[in-house]
Amino acid sequence: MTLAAEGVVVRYGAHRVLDGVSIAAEPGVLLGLIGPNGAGKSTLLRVLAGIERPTAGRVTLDGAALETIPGAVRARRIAYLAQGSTVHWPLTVERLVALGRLPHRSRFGAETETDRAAIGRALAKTETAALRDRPVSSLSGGERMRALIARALVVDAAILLADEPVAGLDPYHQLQLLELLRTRADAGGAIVVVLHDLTLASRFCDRLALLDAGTRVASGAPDAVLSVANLARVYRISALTGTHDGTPYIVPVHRARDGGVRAGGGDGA
Amino acid sequence: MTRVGAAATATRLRLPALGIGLGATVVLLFAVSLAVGSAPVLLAEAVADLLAGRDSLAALVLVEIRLPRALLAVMIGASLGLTGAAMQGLLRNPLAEPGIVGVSGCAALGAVVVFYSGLAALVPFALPLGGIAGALGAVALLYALAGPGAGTLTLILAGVALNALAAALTALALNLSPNPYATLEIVFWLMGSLADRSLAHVWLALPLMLAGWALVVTAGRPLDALSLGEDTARSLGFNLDRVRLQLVLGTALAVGSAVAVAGAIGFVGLVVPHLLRPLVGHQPSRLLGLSALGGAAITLAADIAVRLAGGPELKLGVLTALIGAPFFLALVLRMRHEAAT
Repeated sequence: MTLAAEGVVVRYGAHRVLDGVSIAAEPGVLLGLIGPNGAGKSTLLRVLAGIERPTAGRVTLDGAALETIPGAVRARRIAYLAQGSTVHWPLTVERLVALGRLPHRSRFGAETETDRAAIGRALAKTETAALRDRPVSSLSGGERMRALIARALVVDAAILLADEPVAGLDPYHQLQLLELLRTRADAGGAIVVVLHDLTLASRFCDRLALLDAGTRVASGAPDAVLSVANLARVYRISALTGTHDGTPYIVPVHRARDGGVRAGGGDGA
Repeated sequence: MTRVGAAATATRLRLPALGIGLGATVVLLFAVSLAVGSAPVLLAEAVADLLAGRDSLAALVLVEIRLPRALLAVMIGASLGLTGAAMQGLLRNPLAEPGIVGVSGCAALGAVVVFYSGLAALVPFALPLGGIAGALGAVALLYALAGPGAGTLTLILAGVALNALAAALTALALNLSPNPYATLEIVFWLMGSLADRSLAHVWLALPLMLAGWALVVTAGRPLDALSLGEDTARSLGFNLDRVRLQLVLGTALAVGSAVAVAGAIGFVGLVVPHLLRPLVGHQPSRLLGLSALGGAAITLAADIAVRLAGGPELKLGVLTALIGAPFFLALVLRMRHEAAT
């Protein structure tokens, strides 16, 4: 199942938040959406999720215009994890995660065995099973984020859109989440994830799309997108880059004055 | 951890028990409400007369005076509890109450206009009809101000504006009232009471309330989804413009007709969902039905209390405000305390 945005424009008054962006979520591909603050990443994700209608351009799901697809059908195909971790009532983790099954429930039907099994799997994958009876108000920021990730996973949608899912997670759970997304993509899922951590982006994503001021300035393989020139021009930083045991890393070092990037220590450093 | 887990399981098991318990309380209070009043009537005797078809004074008091009062207490209490839970869920704010969108203020204004114009004395049921017209006018205005695409904040602001406008026009009517008795009558009516209502009032309000309840009760799932914010609720497939309209219209029908037949009865819609929320694990959909039962029970109890208290009968709205306002203060203090820790 492919979700594609073509020439999407979003305008708030005179300000163009997105200015003709094209991007596609394809089966088996983990696509990282990167760019500085205010580049339009979250807006693009909202447009892809069908939450916001673009001023111009179109969004299609397997060729059909997204706005013609009934809400309940769309909700079963596309799971969306919003930025931030606001939960308005102190629900228990289990009840919170169960909300992700709402698109699957019949109009007045109760939770089925399938629902409960999916909830159990999502709790296990995010290591939140031990928290299932805790009210979310008693959780730490990272624990709450993991519960919300479980809420998005439990939809069992072909397409997953996640807006900064690693925000607030400790390094262990950041790696665990990206491994989870990687596994899901390898199993045929189409995933778009907004990331600020460039090392995670370069290491786990198949492709990156770099947004700047509402336009897509680069896209393709991570090492091509995260070039010295792009880091200097778009992110206005110089970074320490290299590989450690074959795993690439990018460590921001300076705000760009000379636009330079220092070579890293290389393998085994 | 085990202790918390056990508590959550207890919550799940407690749900049906809670519903049955509240339902039984409503039935019990309903019976007490039929038995209590200024005329010394034995309930058993009145029921026996009624069943035997005897037109005794006891039977007359029961059907013409006590029954409408008890029925209206149930209907109005349920409307306030249900819509209070719905508004708190929609606005995701525990301090919201059914009147927040301006319907009760406008319904009261509609009734006051009827009083003021003298229509109340000329046309039968002009008063409740005026109240209902006021509530529907509020919905039309709300929709014009905060229609499709407008956010929750716009809805709240529009409600505040409508309430302010209704209060100003009500004050104007009182100010310009030609004779002090009319003013007094309006003021007393505004305090809210179930005294001297007839079965006709029940029939007038019931269809509108049923329609309102149906609209609100079917919005449980989107209310649950809204716990995660508007974006996530939309991503779960809910059309929030439609949900908002459904809930505002349902609240206007239920609360507007309640105000139209009984005047303003405050705090029930605020307090009841609040008391019950922790017992249902804070889930908005589970709160709806229970708040309706809780609202009916509290309104019945308050209406029994005003009749049992000595002296001139307290207005029901005065009693609920006397009990509700300190509760509200305690709530604010507790929230402040929670925010500080």
